Amino acid sequence: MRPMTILESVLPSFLAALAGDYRVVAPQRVGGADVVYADWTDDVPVDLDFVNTVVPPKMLFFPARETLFHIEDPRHATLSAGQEAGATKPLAIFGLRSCDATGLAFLEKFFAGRGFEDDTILARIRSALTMTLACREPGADCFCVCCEAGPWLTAGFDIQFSDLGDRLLADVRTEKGEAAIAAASSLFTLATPEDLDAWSRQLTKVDATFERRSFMAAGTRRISLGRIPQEKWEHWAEDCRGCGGCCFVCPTCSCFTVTDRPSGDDAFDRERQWDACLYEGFTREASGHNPRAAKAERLKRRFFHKMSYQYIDVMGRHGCVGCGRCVATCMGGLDISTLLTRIHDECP
Amino acid sequence: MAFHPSTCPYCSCACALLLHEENGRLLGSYPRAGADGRAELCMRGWNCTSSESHPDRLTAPMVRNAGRLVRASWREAVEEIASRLGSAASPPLFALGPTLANEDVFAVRRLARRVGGRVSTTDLSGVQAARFALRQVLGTGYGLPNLETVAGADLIWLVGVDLEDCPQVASRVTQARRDGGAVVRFDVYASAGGDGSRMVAMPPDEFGRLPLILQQAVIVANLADPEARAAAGFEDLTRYWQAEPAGGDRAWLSDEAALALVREFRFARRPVAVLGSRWLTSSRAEENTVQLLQALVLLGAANHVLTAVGEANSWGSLDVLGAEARPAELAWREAGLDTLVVVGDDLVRHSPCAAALTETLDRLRTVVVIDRFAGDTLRFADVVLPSCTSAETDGTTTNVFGAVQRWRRAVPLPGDCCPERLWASRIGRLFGVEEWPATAASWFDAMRYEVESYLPILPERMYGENDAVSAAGDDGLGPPRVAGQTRVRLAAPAGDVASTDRGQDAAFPMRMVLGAHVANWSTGTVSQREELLRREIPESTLAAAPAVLETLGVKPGWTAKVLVPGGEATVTTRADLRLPPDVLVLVPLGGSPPAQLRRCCPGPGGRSVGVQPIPARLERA
Amino acid sequence: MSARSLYLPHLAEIARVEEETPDTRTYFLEANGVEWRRAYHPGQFVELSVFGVGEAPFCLAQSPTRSDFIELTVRRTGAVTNRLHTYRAGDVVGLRGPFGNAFPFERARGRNLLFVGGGIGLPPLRSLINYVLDHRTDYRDVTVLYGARTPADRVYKNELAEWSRSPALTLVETVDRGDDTWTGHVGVVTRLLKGMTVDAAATLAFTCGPPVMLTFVVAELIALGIAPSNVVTTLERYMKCGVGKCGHCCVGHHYICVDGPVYNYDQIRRLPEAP
Repeated sequence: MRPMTILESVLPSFLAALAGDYRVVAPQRVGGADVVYADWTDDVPVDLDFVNTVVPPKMLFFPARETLFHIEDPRHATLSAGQEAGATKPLAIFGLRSCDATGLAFLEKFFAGRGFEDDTILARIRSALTMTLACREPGADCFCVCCEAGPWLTAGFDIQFSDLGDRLLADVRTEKGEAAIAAASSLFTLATPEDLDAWSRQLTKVDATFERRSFMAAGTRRISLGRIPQEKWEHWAEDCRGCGGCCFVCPTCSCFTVTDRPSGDDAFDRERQWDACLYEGFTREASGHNPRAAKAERLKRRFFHKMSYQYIDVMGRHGCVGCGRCVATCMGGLDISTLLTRIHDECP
Repeated sequence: MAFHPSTCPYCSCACALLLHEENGRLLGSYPRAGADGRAELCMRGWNCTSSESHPDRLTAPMVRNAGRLVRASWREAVEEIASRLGSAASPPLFALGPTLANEDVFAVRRLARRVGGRVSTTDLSGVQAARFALRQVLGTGYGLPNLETVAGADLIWLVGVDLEDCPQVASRVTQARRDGGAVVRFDVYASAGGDGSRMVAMPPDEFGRLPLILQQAVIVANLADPEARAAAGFEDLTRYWQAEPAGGDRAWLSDEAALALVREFRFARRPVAVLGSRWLTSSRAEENTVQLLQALVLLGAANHVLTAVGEANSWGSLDVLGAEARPAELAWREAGLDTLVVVGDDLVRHSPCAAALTETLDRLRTVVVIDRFAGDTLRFADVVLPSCTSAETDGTTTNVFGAVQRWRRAVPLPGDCCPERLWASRIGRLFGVEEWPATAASWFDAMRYEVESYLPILPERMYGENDAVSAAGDDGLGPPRVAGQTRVRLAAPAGDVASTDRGQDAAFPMRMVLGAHVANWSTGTVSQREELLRREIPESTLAAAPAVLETLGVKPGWTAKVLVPGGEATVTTRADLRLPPDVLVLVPLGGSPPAQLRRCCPGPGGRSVGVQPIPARLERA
Repeated sequence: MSARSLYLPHLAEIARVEEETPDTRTYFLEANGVEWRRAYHPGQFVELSVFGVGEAPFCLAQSPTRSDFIELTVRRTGAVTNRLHTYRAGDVVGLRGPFGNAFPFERARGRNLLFVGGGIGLPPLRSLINYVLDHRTDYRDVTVLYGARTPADRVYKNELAEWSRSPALTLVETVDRGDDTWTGHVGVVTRLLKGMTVDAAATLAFTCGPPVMLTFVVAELIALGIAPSNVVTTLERYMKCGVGKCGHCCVGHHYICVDGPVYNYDQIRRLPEAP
């Protein structure tokens, strides 16, 4: 489909048109400054100026907590679907940032991998209509250009919107995207040569505003090559407060734990919850033995895992999309950007 | 799907957070970049999810019948309580945990007054000592205005601070250090090192001398800050120190070293002193902290002191309870007590003197428990009422800097649970008081007329129209300091303060080392994700006095059996980086009951918390 | 429920429970509804649900050629196993699996097989030993060394007695501490290896047991001239999902639950966090 444009003023009508087939989610401000993905309603203005959300959109597909199934009478065990289950509409996300769209594609690959498909999560991701919003300027912590994940995408979305001032240009790449636009075709017009010019000028300009730095490539390489002395890891790890925030805000982190929670008389929910490899108990065994008891080992593990191990041989890329959330959330300066910069500077 | 801006209920840093709710359940808690510019939470904050399905959650009132607690209607339970309060032989004691909203503390206080009872606090985080000293020396209720002051400091003194205990303070210290700030740690054991800070290792039986050494150094070198010179009592203090013979046999801090320290601090541009839980929960903490604050006043740092990050609402509880509140620990020891109402704390589990406490509880005619979770205190309860968590009700909480913030209701109340204020009014009505505020906002309004420092805070600010979107951090008000400037008062140390406390601390050199570690982290039980938090909570570790272990020949990495009342537990011993090399930590292995281990504490408790030496036999397994 | 989720267990009724040692029991699970009950390989494991408590991984303790039941031998260590030990015949548990790779029983064809087990490390080996006995002609000499702390701590006592009488294999047992009735070897299992003569090039060794034992056994096997790649063991890690998703069992780029748990010592040495 050739690029289309839509006036910013009628964007709500477009989202309203999608609401029949989809559960529409868009970034919204909560309590003043924080932006989250929340159910879109036409009384909430669509925010086009946010940098990014507090937590990545993975929370929509891989929620922080969800019921896998419900258990009655545990010794005799009647299992049934959890309370969140049931036919829900597929998600339509408007305003996905390029980094997060890349992260979502990463999660899809991960949850489909190693011979076992996580149907629930894959169904949510695969049925979703992803409408990205190309970035116009970098946030303070952003480094997507160093991670091949932005500031705009050439693939990996259904529709990519670019803000041209009073209108948005829609770059449509999939049948799902075309169908979505067809359902509200009166709101869209074919992009004019002027629109396309403005668009291409914008992309070029945006590209120039995002600083390309070498720390990602260099840091990743040095980690993989084992160039970082153990003392460095130990020194850095002293600043890790073990909050787990870096994992929770990461668009590609996918570790979880599973627990049985009481949910009534003699009834339980088996729940999955986000877990973090920085937690001391992450690898602790029932006997009390913990193969990764030292903080330095856990920190090292996180960086090897995200930057080297599985990502390079199975996922085809490292596990960072440069969204910068860990930069904001880490209390100890052990986020990917800062630590890889330190590796770049300190560990030749 | 909804997001409720609220405040973390786990410590009095009170970080702003967003509660993510869907279908009446909390799915997650996320940090808020918008509130204070930092999208940070510690492990506890990241795990504030629902507690409605916690295995220990109380959801129905219970009354003891033929020795067993049986489910009752709220009316029956409330009537039972009222009749027991009404027939108490001595004034009932209401012991309040530090995790109640201000409104709930106020409501319980009002009920206590109505029934002729007294209030006390079960808080063990050292906030009382800090509060006492702040009022005594500075005339204010609070120290530093915010955490960022720590981050921006060029010199930080950490006095008895366990940074592992308080991630938010630790992160600011890290930031300050990264920006070139210097850090000096005063503690009772040598640091594991590696973090670039300097260490003043205080012998466990002499740490009480630290403030005096500092005071003397300032006065003798004539370094006192001009404002301190103008303060009441400065002349007395000067005369005292000029009369005091200089020097002393102190290998750990010579006069010369002390002078260098005070000089550096006095001339730092942005110095900050942090008094941690190990200092504030040590023996004689109130007197020692008064002296330490005086030393800091002399150094011109009256407004550069951060004291005791306490539990969720340690600070607000003390604001609301006022001077009449005393530590529950002291209150329940009084003879003649026959009725105890424990609100929002598991007294038995958290008491440093559980053995003596359980004896008392056994003897009492009436024990009422109002709490969210079934704890060890329930064994002694005659009536139990279920209360709610900070995500299930509206209320305010006051942080360590005195900012009043909102807890917002994000999920429904499970079962018969309701906030303490509602239980208080239901009981109060049976005592003839018909008029009780109906909403959180009206409770707040009633409270501010009786709690002077909250008077300037209009209820509309806390419970306004745009409640749903206003940010906890943004509309945080305060600090509720007494208006005007600080009123510094100095006084010469009383004679006995200068003497060391050798006898008491020699009995257990570790008493100060472990401090309030447990008290602070054990709030993890409030979380649905207890399993996850339990993996991190340091409460299941014990330290034994080196001498005890030496006698038994126990070495790091060994497995030992600890015999405790009611059973035995298998533990592994490990050297902890945070402890001196000759001290071992005992870590219960899977299946061993940490709760039982906690109970093996000696008789006269002092002020140390939770973790105690093991008087029971240690056997090599 | 729609498509069978990765995390949804099969229900299995406990048919019988056998006491192995004071803290270890074998559970025989009715597996009629479980389509893979004879289609797993020795060395694989299952995730066992004790509903209301949680899930934990256990190796399949019997050869697929043998039992009509799924057999799991479980020692009481944590919350799940503590609860399981209160279960009796008729109670229901959940099973997911079979997960993980398997012992290289194909590669073992035509070779001498040496099994070294310690304590609760015998169950995974037993599934392979019985498999080998059921295909006895495919293999050459079969030797089993088994060490336990005390005679009472030996698992599968009846089966050990059978093996000791069987001409199909050589069984040598030892205990750390004997008692009045014990007439066999006393001492750690490594002592049995010392001075043993093996045809190193033709031998494949399998060993499972407590980590401390493994360290010494592996060193001894290598000292006997057996190539590290011919020393096979299983790695254990805290696990939740069993399907390479939850991340707990990751070591290096391996997910022990999918890529393991069976490894030879040459592979283990290459792992970045070698045990």
